[in-house]
Formats: sequence, C-alpha cells, structure tokens
Amino acid sequence: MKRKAINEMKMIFLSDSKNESFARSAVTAFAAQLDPDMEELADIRTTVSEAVTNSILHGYRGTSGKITVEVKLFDDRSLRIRVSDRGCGIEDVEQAMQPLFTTDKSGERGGMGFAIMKSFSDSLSVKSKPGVGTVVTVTKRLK
Amino acid sequence: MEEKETVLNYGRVSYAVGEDGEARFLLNGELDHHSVKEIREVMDGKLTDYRPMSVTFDLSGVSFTDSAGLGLILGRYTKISGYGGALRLVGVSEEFMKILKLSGADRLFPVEARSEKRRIRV
Repeated sequence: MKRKAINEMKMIFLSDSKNESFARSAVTAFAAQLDPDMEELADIRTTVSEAVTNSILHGYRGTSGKITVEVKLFDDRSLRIRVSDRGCGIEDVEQAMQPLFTTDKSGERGGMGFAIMKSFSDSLSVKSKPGVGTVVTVTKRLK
Repeated sequence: MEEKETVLNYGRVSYAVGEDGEARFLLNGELDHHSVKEIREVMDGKLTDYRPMSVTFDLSGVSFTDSAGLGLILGRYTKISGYGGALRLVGVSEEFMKILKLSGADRLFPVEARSEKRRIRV
C-alpha cells in the first residue's frame, strides 16, 4: 500500500548563518507531530543543520540567496525533508559525499556533513547542477 | 582538595586553569557553523598565549553540535597536539558521541560521555 502524506510545510529563508538554528528548530517542531523519540528528534535536528549549513557555506559561499526547506509527514511514520538552494552547485556529487572530503583548506571543517546526513537518516539523495543549485532530500522512518 | 581557579568568561566559552596546570574550556549553548567562529577565536587566543600541555573541553553545557562543532574540536586538537599537548573531551552528549564515532575522532583523544543527571534536554 502506498504511503499517504498527512501534513506538509514549506519555508523559505535567506542564507544567513543565524538561520541554521531557526531551520533545525522549525523542522523538529513540525516533525514533533509524529511523536519521535529523543534520538530521532536529535537525528532530524542534526540532518537539517548539516543540509542548511552546506547551502550557506558551499552553495552561496557567503553571498545572499534563498534556501527552501520542505517537510512532508506520511501516515507510515516517515518524513521527507528537502533542502534546496540556487547556489553554485556541486561539481562532483559523488566526491562531495565521501566521508572526510572537504573543499576547506583551513582544517576547520571535517568533511563529515553528508556522512552524518546519510548515517542519521534512512535515505539521502543529492541532485546538483553547477551554476544552478543543489537539492538534498532525506527520508527518515520513525519507530 | 579544592582547586583554586580563575574562570574567565567569554559568553559561549569560559576558560579556567587549575592548580595542576590543566586548562579547561567550558562550552555552552549550540555549536554550529554560526556560533563556532566566536568560540574558535577565544580558544585559539588562549592556546596560542599559554600553550597548555593538558587541555580539557567540557561540553556538558552544550545543547547541540553538528559537523561544525566537530570541526572546531578537530582544529583545536591539531593545534594542541602540534605543540605537544594533550586534549580530552568530557560531558559529551549521546548525539555528539555518534558524530565522534562516525568520524573516528573518538580514537584521537579520550572522550567521556555526559552523565545522566547532567544531560541537557532540548
């Protein structure tokens, strides 16, 4: 039987690093409708933070742009989170998704963003086109 | 024996040196890409000025950490081990422990989990 969407939300905000905290709080507040446990909630919070930080840091690289976050809740206790930007895009998605890969030369970034998103969710998809933008979609099924 | 400490407060991070010479950074709040910039500046100032050989990062007041928090710690670890010092982490939340293990950072320095009663619920 096909799962049915029971609720959804969409928000658009600027690529200001102050919005990292806002985005993860808003998504976890919305996802709370599915009554996740503390660990699931923490996983969702971290995943959103990683995806939004990627858009701000790598997609827009300090320039101002818009980030869209869409969340859909399903009747099988799963949720889908989509974070999209119209930033510079990723040249090589496969390479970017390798744990410890980072374009940062300062040694301040561990290159763990995608590895964390993958580990903390049930599926992760990254679609990106240089010059056009990036769409990151994660799904998570709750217990 | 009670240690005499001078605690210097810098908002999200405070710094204290015990009588035994151990430097302790107490971190508070959320460690994300937005907040780590300010914390990093304070920490690097102290590490550069005093080069403490034994350093503890106490994360028991931290309510959220993502890969930016991991980057903050790995960057400071590189700096401390670079001059021959040793780092340990205490007060680590269950969530951050998962990130430390995933990255393998828990094998670089001693990591102590947060005790139940000190756990921060968000």
